[in-house]
Amino acid sequence: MKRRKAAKRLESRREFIKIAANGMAGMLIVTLMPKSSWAQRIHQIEEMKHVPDWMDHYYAYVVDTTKCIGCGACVRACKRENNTPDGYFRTWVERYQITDTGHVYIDSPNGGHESFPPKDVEGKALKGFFVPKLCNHCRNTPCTQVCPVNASYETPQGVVLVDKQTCIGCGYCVQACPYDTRYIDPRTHTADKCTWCYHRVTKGLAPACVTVCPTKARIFGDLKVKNSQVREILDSQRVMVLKPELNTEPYCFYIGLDRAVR
Amino acid sequence: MSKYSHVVNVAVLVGLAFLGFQVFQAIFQPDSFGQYGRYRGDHLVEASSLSVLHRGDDYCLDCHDAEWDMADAKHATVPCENCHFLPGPHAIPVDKANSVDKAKAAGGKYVKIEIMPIDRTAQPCLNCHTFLPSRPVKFPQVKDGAKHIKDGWKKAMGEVKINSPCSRCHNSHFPKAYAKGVV
Ligand code: HEC
Ligand code: HEC
Ligand code: HEC
Ligand code: HEC
Repeated sequence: MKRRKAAKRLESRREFIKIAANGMAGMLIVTLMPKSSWAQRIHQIEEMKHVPDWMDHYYAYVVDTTKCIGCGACVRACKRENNTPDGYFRTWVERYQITDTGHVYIDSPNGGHESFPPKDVEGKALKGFFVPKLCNHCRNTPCTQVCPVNASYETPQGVVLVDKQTCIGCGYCVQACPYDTRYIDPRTHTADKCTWCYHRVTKGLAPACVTVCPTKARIFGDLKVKNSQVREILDSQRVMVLKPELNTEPYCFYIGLDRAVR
Repeated sequence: MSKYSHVVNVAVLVGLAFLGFQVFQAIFQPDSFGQYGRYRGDHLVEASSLSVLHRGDDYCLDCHDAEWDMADAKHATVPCENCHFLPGPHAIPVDKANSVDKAKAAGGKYVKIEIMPIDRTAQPCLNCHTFLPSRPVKFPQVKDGAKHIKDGWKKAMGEVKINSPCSRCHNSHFPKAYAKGVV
């Protein structure tokens, strides 16, 4: 009797170890499994169906940094369209200058609102470029996750918005955003950010910054439309996102990013 | 003292907390919360009903295609609103205006109700065409405005002051078509 009991315990311990080992192996497989590819993601997006017709889109944004001339038209248009307070920007343009001394000069005087004055750099400028920045409208949004009152959220179309009526202005999201695209509006004391001009895109227009870009460096479109320009670019060109290591899964893609870009 | 009084106590407390939360939610949660997700559904409609200020080139070209048939011009990609911007509409159809004879109609179809600003200074041109090392090399840029104007002046027959605006020689819409007298 006693021996049988001991044997059973032994058996159950073996069982336990077996189960634990299986579980661990399973977890390992899950972590090693490749993340869903872009093709799978696009397929999922195409399958999605949002109920009111005007919602049945899934937006993405592409910035072609090789075309940007840093004229600041987008920054001015965004300010006019969205009436953002002075000194705060929903979109801005950064200038990068890399010299033979190894320095990387990054500046954005007034967000690029008045274009860029020539800048003296030490040594010879080897390469330079402009990088327009805006909210990346991530899928793994660090900013909406920290909102204590659900004022910030992702719409079914993949746009991240802030509900000013609900926002209590705590500023957690401003700190959580790795791309520094949020600010507290000094007039309303609530969080504010790029909405991809939600009032325009829901009417079938492009965001203001895209509308005024003279070199077509900014491209906006619907991923659900098979022959849209963003789909074509994402399918056929080499694109990158900002800070991919943070795994925020941005839906704002960049062409021609340099490793110096932060 | 019942054997289960401790359970009852806890159950009552939990029940009260639950009820309190329900009351709190009923009072403070907006009606449309949860309509599409864990946020106020009405905000989607509010956010999409703001007024549109930038209308894009297609809007302008509805009325202005005669001035701006520039498929082959170098400024073909430069949107009108870089140099002309007005938040509201600046013309309306003639039959909607109340004093038609006073207003000047373009092609007889529209009356202007507000002047569209024209930025004649060099500033818009310089925003885009000042030489900057960060600009794409192929983009046409002016390294030294004064020198450029002097050189342009050499080619020009007419008299051009050094501080004359770019539009003295360049047509803003067709920048390759120089003013009369300029080669
Ligand atoms: C690069 C700047 C620039 C852009 C872009 C631009 N314009 Fe102009 N536009 C001007 C300037 C400067 C004048 C004044 C020209 C003059 O007085 O010689 C002008 C004049 C005009 C006039 C008045 C012409 C007249 O005879 O009185 C119209 C109409 C006009 N623009 C329409 C447009 C439209 C439509 C677009 C877009 C498709 C556009 N412009 C884009 C700079 C621009
Ligand atoms: C509904 C028709 C209509 C639309 C749309 C329209 N315009 Fe006009 N525009 C007019 C009329 C009419 C005039 C007056 C022409 C005249 O006086 O001979 C005018 C005049 C102008 C002038 C000359 C300055 C002035 O106010 O007299 C400019 C510049 C101009 N328009 C630019 C634009 C631009 C840029 C857009 C797009 C944002 C635009 N227009 C859209 C009808 C229109
Ligand atoms: C919003 C930006 C923008 C503004 C403002 C602007 N341009 Fe341009 N300009 C361009 C672009 C884009 C091109 C086409 C460049 C190309 O073909 O690669 C261009 C081309 C030109 C060219 C032709 C160069 C060539 O190689 O043929 C001239 C000249 C020119 N612009 C002069 C002007 C003048 C003068 C003004 C002011 C009235 C002006 N531009 C305002 C963006 C702008
Ligand atoms: C005195 C007349 C004159 C004035 C004023 C003038 N330009 Fe020019 N510009 C010219 C001529 C002429 C050319 C053609 C140059 C050539 O073919 O060598 C030219 C060419 C250009 C080009 C094309 C350069 C290239 O590399 O293809 C740009 C851009 C330009 N001008 C911008 C401007 C801007 C911006 C201003 C205002 C600050 C301006 N221009 C004022 C006469 C003028």
